Amino acid sequence: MAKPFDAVKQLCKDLFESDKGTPEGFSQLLQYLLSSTVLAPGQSLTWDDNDGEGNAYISSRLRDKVFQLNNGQFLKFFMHFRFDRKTPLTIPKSCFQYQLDKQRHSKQFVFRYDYSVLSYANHPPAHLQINGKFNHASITNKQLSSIRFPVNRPSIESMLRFLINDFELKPNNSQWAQLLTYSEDAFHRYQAKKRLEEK
Amino acid sequence: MLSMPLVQAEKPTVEELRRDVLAAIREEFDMTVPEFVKALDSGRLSTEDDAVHDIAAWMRFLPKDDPIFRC
Repeated sequence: MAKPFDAVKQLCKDLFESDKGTPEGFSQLLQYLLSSTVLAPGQSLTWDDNDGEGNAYISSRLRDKVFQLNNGQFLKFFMHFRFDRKTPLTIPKSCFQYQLDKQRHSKQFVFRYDYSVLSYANHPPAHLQINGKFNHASITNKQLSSIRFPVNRPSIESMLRFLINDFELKPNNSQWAQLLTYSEDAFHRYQAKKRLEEK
Repeated sequence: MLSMPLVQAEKPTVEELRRDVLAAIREEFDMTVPEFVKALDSGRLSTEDDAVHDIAAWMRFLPKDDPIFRC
């Protein structure tokens, strides 16, 4: 059986350095990144790509609602993407939410990153929400948890690092840091190449 | 530190997806599929809500003529 790092390298090569990229390959790459870092044992991503309009989707199974993490907490993660041999990888919508219960619509989230090309009223296309309290009550009438801080779109790798470095989740694989760096670099090179090709 | 065995991302069968969609709509909204679709079309339910979004997203991968859209 291939080791996770070897598997990630091969998938990155297929996806980002050749024309062998498939929705299945991309889903499998995300599976390895999540499994090697923060998912509880046996947790698997569910994906599908045959809606007839070129869309693909990754999330937990509907019945599971969210993913279980290796520290007993939960992760809501979904990604709507488009990727085939003719079109570069695009991600119209994604969500990454660390939470303390397994509800799909959790009030007990810790932080949440959202991205959507079709942004809702007054919501920045990419934003961060934090479930906490302001130290200065008079600063706004809004709850901190309902404020959407505009951000650049972070990589999945940077969010996994965030969970490990700042929320102290224990990584599942000793090579987790190198593995995330490898995948992130491969994607950034791919992204830069596609941007140049578009010009 | 041990490396975890590689877990594969799973593609659900149509039967699994149908079962999951039916159960999720019933458990979270106490609706049938046509009622859920009607509520979406009328704007009574919004995909801005995560629960609605996730179910609606997965429904796209069922065949357009799947029997659950008629029941």
